[in-house]
Amino acid sequence: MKRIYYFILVTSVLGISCIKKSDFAFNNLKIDNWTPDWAFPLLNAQLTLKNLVKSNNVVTEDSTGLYSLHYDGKLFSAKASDYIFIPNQSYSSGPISLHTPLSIPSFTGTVSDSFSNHFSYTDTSGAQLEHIKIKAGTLNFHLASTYRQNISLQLSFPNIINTSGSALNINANISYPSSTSDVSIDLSNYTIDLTNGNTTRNYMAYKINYVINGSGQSINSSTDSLSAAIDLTNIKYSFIDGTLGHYSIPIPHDTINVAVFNNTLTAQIYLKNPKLHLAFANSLGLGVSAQFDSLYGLTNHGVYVNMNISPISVAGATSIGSTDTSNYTVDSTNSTIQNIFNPAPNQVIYVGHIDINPGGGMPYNFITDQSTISLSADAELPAWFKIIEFSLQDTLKMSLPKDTNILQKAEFKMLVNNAFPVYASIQLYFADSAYNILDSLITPTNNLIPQAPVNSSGVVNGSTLATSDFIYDHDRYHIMASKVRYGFIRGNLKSSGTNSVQIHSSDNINIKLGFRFMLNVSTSL
Amino acid sequence: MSQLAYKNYFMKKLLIFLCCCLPITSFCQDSYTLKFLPQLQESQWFNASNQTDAKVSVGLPVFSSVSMYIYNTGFSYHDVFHRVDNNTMGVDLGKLIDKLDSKNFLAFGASVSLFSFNYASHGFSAGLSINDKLDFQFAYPNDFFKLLWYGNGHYIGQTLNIGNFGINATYYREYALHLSKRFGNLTIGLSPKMLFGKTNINSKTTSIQLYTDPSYYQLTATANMNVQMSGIPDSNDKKDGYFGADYIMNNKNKGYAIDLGAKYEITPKLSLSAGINDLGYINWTSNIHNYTAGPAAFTFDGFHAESFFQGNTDIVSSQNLTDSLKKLIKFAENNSSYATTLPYNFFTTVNYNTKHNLFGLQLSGTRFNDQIIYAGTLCYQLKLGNHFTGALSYTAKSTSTFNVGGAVILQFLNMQWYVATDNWWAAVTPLDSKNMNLRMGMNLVFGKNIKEEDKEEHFDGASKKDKFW
Repeated sequence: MKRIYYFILVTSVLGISCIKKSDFAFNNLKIDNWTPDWAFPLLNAQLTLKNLVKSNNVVTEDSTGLYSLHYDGKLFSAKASDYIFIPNQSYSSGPISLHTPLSIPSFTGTVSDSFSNHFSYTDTSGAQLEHIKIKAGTLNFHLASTYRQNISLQLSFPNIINTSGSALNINANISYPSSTSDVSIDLSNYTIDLTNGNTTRNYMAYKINYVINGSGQSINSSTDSLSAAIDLTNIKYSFIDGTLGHYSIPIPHDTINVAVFNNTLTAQIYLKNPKLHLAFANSLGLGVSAQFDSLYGLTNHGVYVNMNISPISVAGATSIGSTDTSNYTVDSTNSTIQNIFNPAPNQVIYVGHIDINPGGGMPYNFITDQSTISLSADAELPAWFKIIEFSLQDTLKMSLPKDTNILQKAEFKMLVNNAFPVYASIQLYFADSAYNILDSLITPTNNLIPQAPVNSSGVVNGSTLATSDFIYDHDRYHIMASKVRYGFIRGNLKSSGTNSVQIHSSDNINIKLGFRFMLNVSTSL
Repeated sequence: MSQLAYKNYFMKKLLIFLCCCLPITSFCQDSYTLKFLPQLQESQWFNASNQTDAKVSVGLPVFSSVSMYIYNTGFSYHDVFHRVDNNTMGVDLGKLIDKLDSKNFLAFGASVSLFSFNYASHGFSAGLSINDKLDFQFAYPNDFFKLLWYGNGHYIGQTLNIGNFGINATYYREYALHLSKRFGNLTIGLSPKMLFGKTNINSKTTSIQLYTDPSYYQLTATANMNVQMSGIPDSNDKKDGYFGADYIMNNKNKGYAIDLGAKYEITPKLSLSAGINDLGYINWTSNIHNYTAGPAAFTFDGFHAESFFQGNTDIVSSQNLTDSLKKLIKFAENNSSYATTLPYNFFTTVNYNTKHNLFGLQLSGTRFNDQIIYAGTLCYQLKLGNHFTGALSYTAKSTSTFNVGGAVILQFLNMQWYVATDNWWAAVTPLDSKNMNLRMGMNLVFGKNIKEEDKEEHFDGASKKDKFW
């Protein structure tokens, strides 16, 4: 019995003593064969176009739900006074002789006479003016005499009236032996009435009253005379009316950026019923004609398509201070605008001019120094199109995290249920510093966004589901991770069916994304 | 020493201490070896048909019987940690997971005898025992460890039961009468018991399932929980002054149970016995706090990015996710009374007695949570002189095949000292053992139980005097 007792005791003690300190060496703990494989859903997005895109000035929705994209901007604005000028005028009365013949060897008496006539306003535009309100300007009067007598003269313009209602009178004197006299008059705030009592235009009447005071020298009316020269210089108007003649105001060369087509690699899109809404705001009291001398779309590869638009008539303002707005829509019925988006441009370039009184005749016009004409454009691109080819590409700098051996495998699983009338394939390429493609992210070659069915009008009438798996394992990553410097994102977009498709606010896409990754965390803690 | 280093040092010492002490401090609730020791009045608590050799046995509070056990169906220490070299420990949970069942249990418990008395004479035995018993079972699912170790990617399209954790803990006081009567070769025993529950936690239903959809890995969690508790005061109970003496003497949670046993002596040396123990229940009525959640389901199908495309950049807000999880496990409380059954066990034994030896075979089953643990035990008992009895046992369970136990009984000066365990081998290889138990104590014994067979030799060659300890 003692032996049994001792056996039990000894084995118990030995057993307990078999517990080694190293059995609890938790300071150096090694985890073996831990390769967890985790899978999570990342994203579930039901994207309806109506929720994504709110109607605003850029995007509009019509009553059927069809979206349109708008690019608007002010193409140009011109001030009339920058293009319509009052040119300097030079008039001469010619020799003015006494109406009553007089010949005296030594004249010491006094004789008076008068002379009336008119000047005609002239410029190259063919203007027939009725009134000119002068904001600034100068009248230079030069009097010359062949009389060897003293002369006192008054030049009167009965139709040049100042703000007080007084006509313009200019006095000049010559004291023999002087033979000339010069006078300058500031014409500010004078108004020239060129109608001669509403009977004609460009008519500027004047009258000269003069007195000859004898100097004791001989006088002979058959040989002696006076002459008046008048210059109107630097005339700035605050208002003119009549018929202003013919002018051309340039629409300068400019560009509209179509941002949606930026980064376009190739694009061949047939847009159905694109429109260009032109709005003229005209405070000139005259009609004009707008003409685009050149209007074309330019892709970033230099391809351009010209568009022809007939001259556009723009009505003038009906009263001073008012502005008349003329709207004109350029569409496929009156232009070749449809061609401009085939291929899709990322720039629309234009240059043109505006003709004043293009039709001739004698229409009544008026302008002020504040009169302007401006042109705003709204390019309306309905989401009703057919994509024959549309590729986008963007390049971005990229560097991948160092390979740590922890991540053994990564997988993205994407489910796309598409109810948009367009479908797409997308790829991300990894490239080295010399832009050589090393690898790509997406292995499947089928469309990431599948083709949804459409009806004969191009409206989506169903949805299509596509499942794509992007699997990247450690070996592939290890080969390229340290070399990657750039990423190319390339997308190809096409429209469903064979005809044009319409994008409506009810179109939607459901994207579900799952992520699965396998780790190797076998390590020492 | 840094705080972290100190923590590691402390944890290491604690683990070493626990591993060394477990064989010593672990006891058994269901004792396979003890059924083969009829000399002890405690053996009657596990086989109602057993009768003691002493005419009068008295158990003093605490001293007469103290038992504890720990039981893990899942793994031993070395199933988790293995030595790589003298300075490195390795962990390979994969190997551990391979050894786990779908549902595993860690159980421990203890019982302390407050008083016991037994009188036996002329084939009749009557006794009384009062014991405080504590049973704690913690259930843990294999799928939880699978999820942690392998990730859900390994189980796409499958449902993982990651939340089948359960706690079933009961502390109760048992008042038992132990009666047995011999009728010829047949001895019938029964032990009616009255139970007074003190504390109970009964996770009636604890289910959290996780399903990973193969579509794009949507995660669906379903939860259904029903946890019943009694005798655990909440803040209101504490305000009302509940606890202390009210708790110890609480007799509102009544229960009843019975042990039944029968022994038939085929020959004077060969006997067959069978029985069932702890067939009963406790009705919990006081300080009830039941918590239920579900059945509810929640699917996380990814972050919804609609608002992101409408200008809200906060698409990964965790608020919605948190709210959904709160709804998933939103507990409702009720105070309805409930009943729990005791973990019954049944057995049958065959004993063959010789003069100084006893050979025994036992087949038994124990209800453990919602499953039955079957066991087969071989026992050899050796009696040397009047003062020493030793026993060795081998038990193979359905969850642990190698358990070598034993018992020692020393009797002198009307004192009967004993210690018994079903897995003494755990003391030899504590880091490879999954279960350990021990019962020990000292009874006061007086007189001799005069049995019918005392007219003959109980053990061949042993005199009546020899058996009169």
